[in-house]
Amino acid sequence: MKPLAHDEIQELLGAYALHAVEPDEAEAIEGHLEECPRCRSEVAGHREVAALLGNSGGAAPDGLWDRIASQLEEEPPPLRLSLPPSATADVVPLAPRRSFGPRWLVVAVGAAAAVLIAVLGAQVVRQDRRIGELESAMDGSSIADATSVRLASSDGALSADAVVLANGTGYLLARDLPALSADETYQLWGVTEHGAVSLGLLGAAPGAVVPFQAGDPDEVSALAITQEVAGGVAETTNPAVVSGTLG
Amino acid sequence: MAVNDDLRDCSDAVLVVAISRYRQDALAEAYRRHAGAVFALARRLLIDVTLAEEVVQEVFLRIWNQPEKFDPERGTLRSYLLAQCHGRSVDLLRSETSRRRREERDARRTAEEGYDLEHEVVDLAVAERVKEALTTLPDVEREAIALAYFGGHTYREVADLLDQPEGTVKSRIRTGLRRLHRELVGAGIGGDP
Repeated sequence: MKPLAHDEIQELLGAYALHAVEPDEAEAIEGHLEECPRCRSEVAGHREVAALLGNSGGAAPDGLWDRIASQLEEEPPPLRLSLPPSATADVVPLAPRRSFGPRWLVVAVGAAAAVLIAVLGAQVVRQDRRIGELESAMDGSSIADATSVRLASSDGALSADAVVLANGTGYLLARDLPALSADETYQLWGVTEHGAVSLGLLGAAPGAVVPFQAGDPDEVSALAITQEVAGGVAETTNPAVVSGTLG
Repeated sequence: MAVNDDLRDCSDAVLVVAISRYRQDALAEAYRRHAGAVFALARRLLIDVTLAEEVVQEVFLRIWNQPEKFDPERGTLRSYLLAQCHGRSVDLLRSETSRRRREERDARRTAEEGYDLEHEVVDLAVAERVKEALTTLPDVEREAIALAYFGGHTYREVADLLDQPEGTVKSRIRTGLRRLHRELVGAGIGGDP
């Protein structure tokens, strides 16, 4: 269908608010509403009127609430960020440093495996280097004594490492995340059962080890980094760039 | 379900924040406040009680799963829930399987009472004012809004039913809604998030 002009869209706003337009018109109007606050406000006004017309008393049927309640999750999902479904499944908790090394070499069979090794090997080296930096930031105490987490993207291509000490102090190294433009920032989140809590802004190009306060280590089950507008946000609706559960 | 005292008196906007924190008692409180109205609208449109209950479930599960879709700046929680309910009910009405049911329903409704928008509003607190405002609408605007909103018809279908040009119908709907907005929201009825 041909794009609708602004006045054509305006004429349709009443019918749109009453769900009385064709699907292709609804799509065109929704696209327009994204960028036109004036039309958005008009639709909100129409909806308010419609709600008054459709607003009647009476009670909902008995038993309906129980059916709804039975469909709510027993346990909140670990991440209430807009993560793709596989994002957390691929995350491997950071193992103590000694487990990295020759283990990767013995599985080198065939060209495909060689490619895999090259990729994993590069990650291991990168991670190993990060761990060294984290340990020096921790004033020499061993990373094996702290809760460590590897944050990874859903495809495994991006990663960052963090450690959280028993007192809630954390250190993050996210230097390998791609630099953002100046009007954007990375933001670190601690995921608790009540949702994601902002732990701080990392800037557009996180460099050295960033200390942060993770709060109560018993409450924060995962860390995640999102991409936000510069200045950060109070609550995020963006997908995690990298995330990982505290293991 | 027991609802904590702190939720009983809080605003809808605070309630939705609590819902986003996975507080089931907050959803229960939202249900207590609004489920009756949501169910009444779904039933008004669909007639079928089972279908109407399904719509109510969907609407409340949706606010549970996607609380961020509700923007308190853009209207009250009730008008949001009713709009969700209306959209979903209309989808069901327009689906192939319910076409026949709708024809039966339209026939029954016509036989029983015909369309009279003034009888649709029963919330006593605002009914009088809404009724008053409706009398300020020209008949043609009231009729077009009723067929679209309570009949679940598209403006094109309304144009067919009333044997009027499509352009005329869509502007009558819009003009009528704006007139009602001035009369009602402008006079402090509703529109108070």
